[in-house]
Amino acid sequence: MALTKIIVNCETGVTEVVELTAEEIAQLEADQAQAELDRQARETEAARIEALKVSARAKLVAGQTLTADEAALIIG
Amino acid sequence: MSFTLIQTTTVGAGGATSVTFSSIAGTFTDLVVIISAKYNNAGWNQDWLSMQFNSDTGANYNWGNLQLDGFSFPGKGYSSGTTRMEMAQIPGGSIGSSFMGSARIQIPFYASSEGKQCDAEWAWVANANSNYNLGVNGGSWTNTSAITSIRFFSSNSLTFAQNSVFSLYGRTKGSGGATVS
Repeated sequence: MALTKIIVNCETGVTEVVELTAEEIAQLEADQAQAELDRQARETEAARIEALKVSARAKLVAGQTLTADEAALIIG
Repeated sequence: MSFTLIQTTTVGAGGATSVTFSSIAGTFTDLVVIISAKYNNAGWNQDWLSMQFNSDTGANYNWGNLQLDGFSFPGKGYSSGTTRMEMAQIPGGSIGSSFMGSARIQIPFYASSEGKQCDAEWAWVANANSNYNLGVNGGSWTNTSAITSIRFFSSNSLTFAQNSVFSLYGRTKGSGGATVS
């Protein structure tokens, strides 16, 4: 199915569903590919921070030394 | 005070990459946009709904947000000199298909000769732990032209899903009250 954009003319009341041009599709696909990489990077970082939290919590309970990253997570 | 529906549109099968209201008359006091929407794209829990005015793609927008969500995203943010105004989080394809996001955006004095300020309240709440987000946003456009068109799109180039609805209302102040001079 073709990619489209919707344009509503408030003066005439006419709604157009316009197919994207080849140039617009290429740009959209490039933007989506980059956005997907960015999303995966954010998820990887969130998982890393969650793992640090778990590790820091366990070390605090056991009275062990924290790593610099774990300490930074706690006190900023 | 009165509200007038200017135009409304519903996204059809196949979705849409953007929705634009063009040729907006300057005859109202304020504009209010009511949105019920979600994105098609799999793998995405949510994404910002962005706005641009009058086809302005320059770095002339500023925006900030406060949000409470289940994904440990930052609860607040601010961006200045951006090419768009991000106004609401809308759920993505990873959230159940029956859940639409809700947003109300108001643009007071949109036809004035001052820079434009906007604010939004928005929310989406699904039926599983952490699948929710709600917040408020504010933004400004550093341009003194009357707003005659508004374009909505995803910040990360996602596509609006079928049955997403965008409704543009004009709000007109009443004739009561006094002008203080």
